[in-house]
Amino acid sequence: MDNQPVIEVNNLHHTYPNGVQALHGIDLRISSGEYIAVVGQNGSGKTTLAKHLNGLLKPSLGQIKINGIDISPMRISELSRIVGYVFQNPDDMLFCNSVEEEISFGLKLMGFEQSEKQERVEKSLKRMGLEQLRDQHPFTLSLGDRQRVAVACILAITPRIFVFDEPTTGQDYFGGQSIMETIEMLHADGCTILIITHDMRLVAEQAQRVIVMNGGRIAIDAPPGEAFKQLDLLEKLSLRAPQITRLSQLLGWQGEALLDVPGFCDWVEQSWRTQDEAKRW
Amino acid sequence: MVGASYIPKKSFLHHLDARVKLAILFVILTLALTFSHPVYILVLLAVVILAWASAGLPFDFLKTLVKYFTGIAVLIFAIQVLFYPGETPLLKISAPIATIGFSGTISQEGVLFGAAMVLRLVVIMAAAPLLIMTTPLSELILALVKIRIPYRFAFILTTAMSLLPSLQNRAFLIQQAQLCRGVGDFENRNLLVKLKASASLLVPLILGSFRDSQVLDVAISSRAFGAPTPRTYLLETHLRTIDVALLIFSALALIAGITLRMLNLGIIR
Repeated sequence: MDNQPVIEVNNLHHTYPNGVQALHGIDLRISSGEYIAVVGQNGSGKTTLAKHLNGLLKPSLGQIKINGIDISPMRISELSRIVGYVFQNPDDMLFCNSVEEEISFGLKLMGFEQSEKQERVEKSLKRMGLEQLRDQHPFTLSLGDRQRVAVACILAITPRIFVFDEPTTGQDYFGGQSIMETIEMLHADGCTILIITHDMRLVAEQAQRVIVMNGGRIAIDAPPGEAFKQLDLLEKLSLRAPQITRLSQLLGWQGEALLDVPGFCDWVEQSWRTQDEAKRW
Repeated sequence: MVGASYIPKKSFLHHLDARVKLAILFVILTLALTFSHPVYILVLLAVVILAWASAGLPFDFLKTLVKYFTGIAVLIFAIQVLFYPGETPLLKISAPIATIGFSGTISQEGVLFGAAMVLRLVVIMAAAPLLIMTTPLSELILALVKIRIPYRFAFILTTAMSLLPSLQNRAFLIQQAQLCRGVGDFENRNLLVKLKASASLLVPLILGSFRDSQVLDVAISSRAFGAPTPRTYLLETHLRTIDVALLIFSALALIAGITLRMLNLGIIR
């Protein structure tokens, strides 16, 4: 990780044409390879913020730099090679007759050579485990598979920054799990990840940094361990830490929030042991 | 964006009973079709524009309408001007187009009539959104039912009216999703690619609408849509004094308009 932020947001304001002020002066630095979760109530400005990162929305005021370059004069098609944005509903994207065609269509329009295009399609299919489904019609696939096809389409463009808008909403447990694994994999490859989500367990277990939005402002910006410690503040923002975190705090855990079951077990085990020893004494 | 949908505001027009608004709309449309003199129709247009302003509706919407309509308007105007058999000549042309039915004369009546036709359409297009933008769908359905239109038809009508804005929102979202993967930036492409790329918008749009209508079907069926017992309504509307007054006024306006027309006023002679 270098110190130069890959994403730099300065004093970002956004007002929608209908007069709704969605963002009030957001300042944000994101370093290369970070895994960030953006949470907050509906209408808190999460999606509005995310859509600025690849030019789908233009700032009313303020500036966004990606890799140190001001993105305001750039077109979405240019930006989409740097920032991949995966929409919540894959059906807004799919329209071709086969999975393979679906992935190659965007590449063709972006002007990739035939050989390079084919190589990218293959890589993308393999990465998303879609090789078996390459000739299938996207609409015959399950929602989870369609979501993977949508990710594969973005993946083929090989951006280094990924934005996922509520990737697990509407998915069953395994579907959600499989998408989270994909995102983890991209992160392991060194990509910068920003996910918008309501799933606190996912945030606790995967993200390195949590940004809590409220009324168009950043309310908390901290690692999950710190963010989920602030139970009162979270409650004010209508958010709840994961059950395991709350349980551990009820049982008297202090310090950085416990985020997952293994961590919780370690702690319980340890305290039991020390108690035993105390008794022994 | 062209689709009209309800815009919540607190205005005189918003507070009127939907039946009264329907009646006024009916009168405006009838009068627009009754008169064929541009000055009379201009008066109607002024009324409509005043209503827009008083209800605090976005004039951007009107501008967009005008933008899309300009081409057709020019065509309509040109056709009337060229082919209207008027008696007061403004200009004589002995051009080869005289052979396809053009009399060779552009008359004062033709120009007036052309202007009236265009204004008439503008009035109709600008007046209809007034009702839709100031009335919540539920009130509109109720109003239609109260004037004895079967609920089923009222529902179809209002659903159709709300379809356009929702289609537009969806189309916008799809376009954004496609832009994100390099599809949809159509500049400098050949026609075939452009055509194929337009499928990227249409396929998800149409399929999405099918899915939505299936969901709507299940949703209304599970709420006993079309049950044989007479239904009741959560909302009730009552005509207030101002509503009744406006109803009477619009009836009078209609009668006055038709009387003028029978006296051969408001038309081109």
